[in-house]
Amino acid sequence: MRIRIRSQHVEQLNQHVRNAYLCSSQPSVAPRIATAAAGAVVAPLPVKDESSRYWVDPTNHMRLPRSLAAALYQTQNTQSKRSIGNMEKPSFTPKKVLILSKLTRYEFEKRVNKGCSDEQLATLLKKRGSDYGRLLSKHKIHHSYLNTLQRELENAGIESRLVRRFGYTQEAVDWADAVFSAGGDGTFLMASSRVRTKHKPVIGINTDPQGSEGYMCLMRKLPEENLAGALKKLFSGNFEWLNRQRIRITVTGDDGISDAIELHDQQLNRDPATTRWTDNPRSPAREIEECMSLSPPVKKRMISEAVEIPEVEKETVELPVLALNEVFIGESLSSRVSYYEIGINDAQMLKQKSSGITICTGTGSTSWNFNINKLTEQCVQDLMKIVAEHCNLPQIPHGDKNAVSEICTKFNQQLIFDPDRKQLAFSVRDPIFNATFPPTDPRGFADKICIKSRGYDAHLVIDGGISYRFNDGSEAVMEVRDEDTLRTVVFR
Amino acid sequence: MAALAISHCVSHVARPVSPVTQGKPSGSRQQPAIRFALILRKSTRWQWEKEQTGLSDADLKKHLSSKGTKVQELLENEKKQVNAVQEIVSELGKAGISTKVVTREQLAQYLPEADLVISAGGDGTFLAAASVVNDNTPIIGINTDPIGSEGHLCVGGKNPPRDLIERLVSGNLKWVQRTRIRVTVKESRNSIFSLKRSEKSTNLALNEVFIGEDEAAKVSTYNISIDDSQTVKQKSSGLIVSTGTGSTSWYLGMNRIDENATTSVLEALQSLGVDVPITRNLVEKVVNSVNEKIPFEPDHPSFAFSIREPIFNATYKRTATRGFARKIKLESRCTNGYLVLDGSTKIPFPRGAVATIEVNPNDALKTVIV
Repeated sequence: MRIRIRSQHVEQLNQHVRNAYLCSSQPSVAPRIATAAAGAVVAPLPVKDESSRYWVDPTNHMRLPRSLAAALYQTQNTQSKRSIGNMEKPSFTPKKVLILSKLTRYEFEKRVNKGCSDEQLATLLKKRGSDYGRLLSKHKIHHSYLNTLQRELENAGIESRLVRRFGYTQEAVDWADAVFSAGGDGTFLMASSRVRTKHKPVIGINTDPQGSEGYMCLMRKLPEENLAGALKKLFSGNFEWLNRQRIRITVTGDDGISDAIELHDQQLNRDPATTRWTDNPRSPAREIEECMSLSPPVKKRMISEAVEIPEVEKETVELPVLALNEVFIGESLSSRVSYYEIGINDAQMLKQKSSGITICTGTGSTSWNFNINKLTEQCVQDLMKIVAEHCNLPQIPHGDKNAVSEICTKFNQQLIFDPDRKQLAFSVRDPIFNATFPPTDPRGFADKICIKSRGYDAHLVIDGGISYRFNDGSEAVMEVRDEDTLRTVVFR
Repeated sequence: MAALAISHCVSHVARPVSPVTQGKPSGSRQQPAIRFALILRKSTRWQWEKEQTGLSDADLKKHLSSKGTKVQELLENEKKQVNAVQEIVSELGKAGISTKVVTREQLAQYLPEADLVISAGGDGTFLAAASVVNDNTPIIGINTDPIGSEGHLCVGGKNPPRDLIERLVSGNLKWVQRTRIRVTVKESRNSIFSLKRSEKSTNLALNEVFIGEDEAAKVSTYNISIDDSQTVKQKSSGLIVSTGTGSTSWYLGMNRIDENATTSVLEALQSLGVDVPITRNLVEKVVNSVNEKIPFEPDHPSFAFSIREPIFNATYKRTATRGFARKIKLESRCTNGYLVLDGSTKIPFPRGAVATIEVNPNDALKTVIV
């Protein structure tokens, strides 16, 4: 366990667990089908079940099956890995801190609907099937947490400035010794996108522990009351530095690099929940401009010859954004097949046909990559049954739920790797193999990956939020470098 | 090159699986006489360019040449298709069956009087024909483009039998009723995006239906109820609902297990003390056994559903990720959601809309197996 839970918190956890389950007993492994779980704890009428406020360790009743929870929340064995780092105590004594605050949906809707009163806004949202009261409630939760953060920083003698998305400029970042993100993982991603140096820490504070996972945040899903203690530990040096690898992307294409497209604004997106990580919409004009000006692309001109085609001038550009989670390459539309060629570690390019490919860091390995590759207990059980048949080994315990769960856990755990591991993991979604597209490993690690597009309307998406066109003939190279790491902190 | 065919061909094409339960041989029954057959011809790249540009043949040649397109290849492919259609027309004529060659746009217009529909092209052409047939009119797919299409849905795949028309006339063919998925969408009456309230639309899918965000990199959010069970909120990369016909395609690609994963599971078994030998041979056998069980027969009375990359964590509860069902009800919480039928028909699925996905024996498509 990364965070030590004191006895009073254990009681609190048990209390919440009991409330969540309406005092009914619950098996240690969650039922496979939601119907049973819902039937056990909820009345026949569909009622929104309040999800657990805290992550609960395996010894308690667990809402999430162990095969998934054990993987997603596994403790990091920092002792054996960072013996050198432990020689001297880390020190974090910033004088100036920039806080990037999440733009709540309430704030966003008020901004979009300028001059709208709260009553009018409530009516408007209701028409859209959204709950005004819930938005306001979440808004207040966030700001309460934010106020606590500001107060604690002030108590520690640290000067802090507060900005929101549109005020999060390079100048603001340069001013600060460290950046705190106040929001969810999406806010953390945005905070880190402006920090290109490995010497400026980015620290995530999850202001919505109930509604957001906070994988990349300091306290994960711990509530506001724990913030003071956590900051105290932080400033007294009781933590470890974690240098998260990021992916550098270099693109070569005939038509150069088009402007980045903010996926959220493309269709007037107003629901942060539907984006993969980013938890706030963005203003297209300002964001794209600032994004592109973060670091002017490094352009190299190459002359390329093609048979029967006149010479075409190609541009090679380093994208100005580093990927902290993952890069997705494939057709823009969900239902279209993607065609591309892939080369791993400078190997020969191979044709591939799939629903796209994700290339992720250790940080991103708990996200999309995990969901693509994880096995369910149903799948593991089927597999064990077939192994038993083939090996004539009736003692293979495919009927034992605990054994199935344990094997599933072991498999799923290996999908997740350390954020500071200097390698990429790639996953091919829904691969199609036939005579034209021979079988290849759909998953694996690499130091460098090269993708050549054969797409009609393909794109390259960084951390689920920024998209670049990536059509036929374009080539992208992805790699990790030490100078691109992001400095963050974890507790012992 | 035929591979440069029109980009709007279907994205996922299925290979038919022989039905486990053989239907009654239709040879024992008198087939209604076939007097009139519609032939849907393939939309070649040349035809597509002509429609798009409206140019004459000579002008179109110049236009394409200036773009660097290999015009000669397009023309040869076009000629090949025309010849193939002529051959079919000739064979049917000899058998006393009158015919009409139609385009995709014309098909619906002539369908009511047809006794038979023949798709002359690849799998995409077959699917285009199938999407218009709502009754029991039989469809026969003839692969006139063996280089560019696998022809999984066509008779004989890449090699249509020479005596197909002869056997058709003499009734010496076996028919299979391919289950199709019926999709009904009702938009929310609260929706401000739709001018028509409570609008309903119904469509049939032969391969599969994808439900989720239009944008590939986005998470889809929806409420789902399977076979009238409790409705739960879910997040994933979309949902696939597949027939037996489509189960060898996207559904298989999504659920297939690979050798690496199998090896890892076997290693986990070993770590539990089970003395299982991990050999390449065993891994291959197990992988093939698992993957062979995934596709199912085209006349299976249920459809299969598969939730794509489900996100289960402490916030979103867990449900079955895959299984069979006869009815699924979905309420959209998507930003820009769509239902995509057979990779070609897109139905908007805005927030608040409710989609019902079900199978009905009356919706089955009558086709030929040889």
